[in-house]
Amino acid sequence: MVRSEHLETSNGPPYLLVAENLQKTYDNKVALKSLSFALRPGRIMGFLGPNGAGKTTAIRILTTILQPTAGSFSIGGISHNEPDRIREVIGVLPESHGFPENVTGVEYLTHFGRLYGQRKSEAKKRAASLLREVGLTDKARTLVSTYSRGMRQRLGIARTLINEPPLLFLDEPTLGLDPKGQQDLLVLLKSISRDHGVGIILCSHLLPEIEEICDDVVILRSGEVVASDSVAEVMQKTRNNNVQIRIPGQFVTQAKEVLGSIPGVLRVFQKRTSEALCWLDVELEEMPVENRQAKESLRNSLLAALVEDEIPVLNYSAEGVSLQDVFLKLTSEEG
Amino acid sequence: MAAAENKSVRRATPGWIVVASQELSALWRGGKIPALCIPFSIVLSFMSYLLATNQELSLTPPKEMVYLILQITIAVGLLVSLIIGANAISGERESGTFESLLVAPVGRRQIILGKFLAALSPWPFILAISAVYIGLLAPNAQIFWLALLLVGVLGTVLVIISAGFGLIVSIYSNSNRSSLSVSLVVLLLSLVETQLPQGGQSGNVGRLFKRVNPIESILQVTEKVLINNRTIAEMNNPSGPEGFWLLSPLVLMVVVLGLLFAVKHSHLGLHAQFDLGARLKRLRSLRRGRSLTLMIIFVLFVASMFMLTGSSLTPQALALDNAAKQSNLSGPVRISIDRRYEKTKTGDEFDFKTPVKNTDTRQQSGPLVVAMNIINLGSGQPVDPEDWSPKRTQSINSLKPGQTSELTWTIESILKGNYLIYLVVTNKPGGSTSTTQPVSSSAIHLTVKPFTRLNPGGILPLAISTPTALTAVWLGLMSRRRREVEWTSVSR
Repeated sequence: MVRSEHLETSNGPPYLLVAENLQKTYDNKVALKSLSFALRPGRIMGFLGPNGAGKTTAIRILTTILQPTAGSFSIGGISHNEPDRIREVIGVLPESHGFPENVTGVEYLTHFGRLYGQRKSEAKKRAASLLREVGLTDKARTLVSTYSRGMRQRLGIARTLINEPPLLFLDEPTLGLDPKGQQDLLVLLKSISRDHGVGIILCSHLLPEIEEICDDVVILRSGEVVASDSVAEVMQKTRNNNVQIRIPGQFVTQAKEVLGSIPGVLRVFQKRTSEALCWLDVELEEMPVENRQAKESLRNSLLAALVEDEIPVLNYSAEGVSLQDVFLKLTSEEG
Repeated sequence: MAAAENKSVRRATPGWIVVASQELSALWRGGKIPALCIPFSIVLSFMSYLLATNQELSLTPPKEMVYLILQITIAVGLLVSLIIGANAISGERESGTFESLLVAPVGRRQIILGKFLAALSPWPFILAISAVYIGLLAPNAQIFWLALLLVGVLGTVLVIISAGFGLIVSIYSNSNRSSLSVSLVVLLLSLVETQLPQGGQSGNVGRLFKRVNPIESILQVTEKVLINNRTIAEMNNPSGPEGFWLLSPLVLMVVVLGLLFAVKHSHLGLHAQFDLGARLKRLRSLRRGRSLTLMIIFVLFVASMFMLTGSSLTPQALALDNAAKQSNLSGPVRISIDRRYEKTKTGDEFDFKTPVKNTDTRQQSGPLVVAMNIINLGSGQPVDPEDWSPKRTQSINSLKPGQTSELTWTIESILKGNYLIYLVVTNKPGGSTSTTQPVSSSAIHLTVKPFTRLNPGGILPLAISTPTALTAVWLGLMSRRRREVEWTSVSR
């Protein structure tokens, strides 16, 4: 959890967003227990958590849709007590947002430009430029109702940029998109962040992609923050003692013997015995987090032993080294 | 990218105008509202043509024909504004567009104002269409302007209430289904009184209902002023016999506008905190005891209103009785009339005078009442003078010995035929059991010829061209939209 003293003593550019002990309760039901984190300009923060963890509640508090029950936050130095001013400096793409009927892409963006105080001509220009940026120039005069899901999401992202905000909130922007659409959208987000120096808070279930494009991560579970730091730090701090190895079924006994004889290996389990291709789950000795090199050397020795014995290795996965593993570990019941 | 500046954005256009213009373009772009008005215009055309050609309907006095058009105009205006208002917020919640609007830097009140104005926007258009038909049926320019003024001012009050009410319901609803159901049920409830038997409508409860219900109140004022020649002031004099008919519409308008704009709208959130749909479901499952309490409270409320209305009528009768008791005994009063024959056309007005003289040389008369009577010579039946004259009775406090007081009367020829118009003057009786002898004037023989302006030949071109013009406007808007938009198949 990020404490306020940590925020104050950090070096670097001033924080764009600082949230301290945000809480939200609905009819005695706690939706958010205590959320504290900070984001610097130009960084992308993944906001992760299983369904019902409080991600959307947190986003809605930070975008002034909901009032926090307790705690405070500020964006660009503007306190949460001034919601009208906060709305001027953020861009928001809500989860499962809709579009009005019978409007074209350019009309939609122009309307929002005017809502943000722009003159009509200025809003039209801005709309055209944003449509170009998100690759929808050809569809500018087409009704939004004929857009594909991916095009609508890109239009939604263009809308969030209409007021040139320093901070974007994107709640599940990849929801319902095919893998290509997801990939395209994440590339677009990365370029927006890089080119404009925009801070982005991104809620998503696409953990490998989040890992790829996010600088920071906040992981929530049942309304509580279970991890909050840079992606690299969170992954490194998490224990990762198991390794999965996939081999052909006929080599299982041999592999068990070879791996079991390596110092540091506690147990070797065989998963899915009926299959021709089997997974071996190798449990390693627990090591201090700081002893990262020894841990990696032990993992490599497993692989080397198998190769030496000419056992074909079809797949090799070290649990805890992906954000997905960290997420699953942190958000599981045992914690 | 601009950094977050510690100052507010200076807006080129106020937020409420942007919200309203977006709503207006959604309603008007593509011709949604003109399309809605085409059936309205067809109904009015059909009715106007029927009124002019149908043998029985053409006997309807022209002012009543105009009143019929006003009723339909108000009903359509009410319904359209109610539906648009009821759809305004809950529709956005349902389609998932509301959150994007809420996170834009536009105040909650500005959002409501913009949507409210959009809900009112079809009304001037409906009025303009209606004006064509009022002009077609009105017997003269005076009636045309009076009808337009009545529907323009009183109809607007109702449309404001209706749009505002729909919007309030929408603020408290999560779905269009619940907001439209609640709005339409309330509208239907307001028409319950018209379904009561005749006795119920004219009884105390019926009268109370008319007073409380803004639709009934406004229709009552419109009818009395347009058809029965009353003035707006007469219909809104708290101490007069009619009372203050516009009280409930005006109070309700202030309440609705207050709820919309004076109350802080922090509850105008992504979800309705007090969801009407959910509350109604819960209401159905209320325990019997609570339902009974609610019913008792409602009955007590109606009874108290009933007693209040009843008691307000009693002092007037008592005052009249006391005045009569205090007056001197009746003297020999005579009433004459300034003409014997008059010929008019339906819808025409004429004035006549009746001098009332106290022929007694010594005694002052008591309070006098002069009443008009009209007999249809064709049927031999009396005619209700209320329809024919703004005043069916006039009072004279008293006449000194030999004094003459001249009263002026206005007659509007409502139906063709031959009539006798005469007046009686009577001294108010001196006590609760005493009586007096009324004195009658001579009569005016009135011949009313039919109004010839309203003919099918004159009505048909406008009855056809108005819906046609509306259809052309609608098609024009559609075609313009087609040119604005590039049409492609739906992308997947």
